[in-house]
Amino acid sequence: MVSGERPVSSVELLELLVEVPEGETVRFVPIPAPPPPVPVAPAPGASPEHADRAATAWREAQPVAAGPSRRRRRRSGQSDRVPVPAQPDQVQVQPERVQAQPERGPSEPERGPQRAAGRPGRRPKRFRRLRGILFWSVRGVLVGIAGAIAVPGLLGFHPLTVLSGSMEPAIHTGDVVVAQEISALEARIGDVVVFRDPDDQRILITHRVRAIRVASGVVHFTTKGDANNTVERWTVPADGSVGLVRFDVRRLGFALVWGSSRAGRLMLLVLPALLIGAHELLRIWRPQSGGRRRARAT
Amino acid sequence: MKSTTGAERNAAAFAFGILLVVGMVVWAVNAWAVPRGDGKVGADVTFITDPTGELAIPGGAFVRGTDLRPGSPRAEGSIPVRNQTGGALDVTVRALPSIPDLDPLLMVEISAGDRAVYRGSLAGLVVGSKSLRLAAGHARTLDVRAWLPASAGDGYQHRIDDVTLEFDVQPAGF
Repeated sequence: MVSGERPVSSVELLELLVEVPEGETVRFVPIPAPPPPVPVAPAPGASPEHADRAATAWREAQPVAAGPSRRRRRRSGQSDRVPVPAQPDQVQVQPERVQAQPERGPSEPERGPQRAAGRPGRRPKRFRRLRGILFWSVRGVLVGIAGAIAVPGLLGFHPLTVLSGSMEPAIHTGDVVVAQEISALEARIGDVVVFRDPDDQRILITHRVRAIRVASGVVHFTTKGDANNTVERWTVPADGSVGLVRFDVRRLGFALVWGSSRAGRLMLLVLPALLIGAHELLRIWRPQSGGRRRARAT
Repeated sequence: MKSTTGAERNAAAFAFGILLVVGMVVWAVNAWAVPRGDGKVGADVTFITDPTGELAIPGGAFVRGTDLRPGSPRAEGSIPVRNQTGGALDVTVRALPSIPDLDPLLMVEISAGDRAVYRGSLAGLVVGSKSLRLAAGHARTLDVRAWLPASAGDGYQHRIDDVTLEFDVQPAGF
């Protein structure tokens, strides 16, 4: 994009080079030197120094650009200097910003109607602010959830999914109970405890304590599911432990069991991947609006 | 009024998110907490049906009372009873408890719609209820409620009573 074409002096050339943003290139196009200026006949008796001073005064007397500020003119791609006639010691510079120079859309006077119409293509500041607040709020929620998941584990809580209705109506099938390990001697009648099935040590049972008896360093428990008609009797060493049910989260177990199934694991991997892919495709292909975003995409 | 910077705003939003989760956790701890035992256990009562050939009755338990204590909420359930014979029947209900300990303590009420079939102690139901007439092919739903009245004395703790309801049928008018 050519943003200006004008002759500049050596000093201005240095200034321009300093101002060129990183990543942009400037092409210098030497132009043939104009015919030598018509020598101004010095006034009778005037010295050569006097002639130089007159030329400087002439340059300084040139009109200064009026209108928008320098920054605004730069934004709109306008030159911020008024062309001056070429001098013999000057080269014409054609700063061609070949790459990375965003197309800045209409100049400031042209933007007026757009701004009045709500600046189409540019998100309002309030929207961006709300988006930022939402983004950081979600981040906070995610951090909080991570903490809520991690802290109970550090405190010795263990989640267990209930697979039967033996504790209905207090605990339902599909609930997740959170149990904390306590000493067998701390258990009380009426507590809901988790213990190993006396008939099959691989199975964990969650039932209510109906009777406790301590004898010979052994704690004898009698437990029963609220919905069962029979009791079970089992023992634990007095220095042993049982799981005390602290919390009961309704129906969460169905989601956990599904999540640990093959289909659930597949969905937990595929769904986020699809969402991320769709988001990226949208980001790439979404119609660009506004000169700034269009330039960024090219 | 002092304006906030973007960084302050983001930090506040981040803190808000964390506080939101903390608030939900506090709520969940209260809502999902399982109360600890108080060293006592009330009575567990289950009512089970005993089907007969004349009546169509779903089998199994239909009333479960867990940790029943004096003055605690009632255990209740209902069961449909259908006369599957060709003639009208007079039906009476009898209780067959698995233990006698709760017989004088536990109160039982059986009703068929607006009509009370029985109201009294479990001991009385062991003898039998009033009769309920069922026309041929007709069905009624029996509502059963059981509770320990506030005046009930000790002797209910740790008791597990499975009460079987037996339906005695006679031809109507016999």
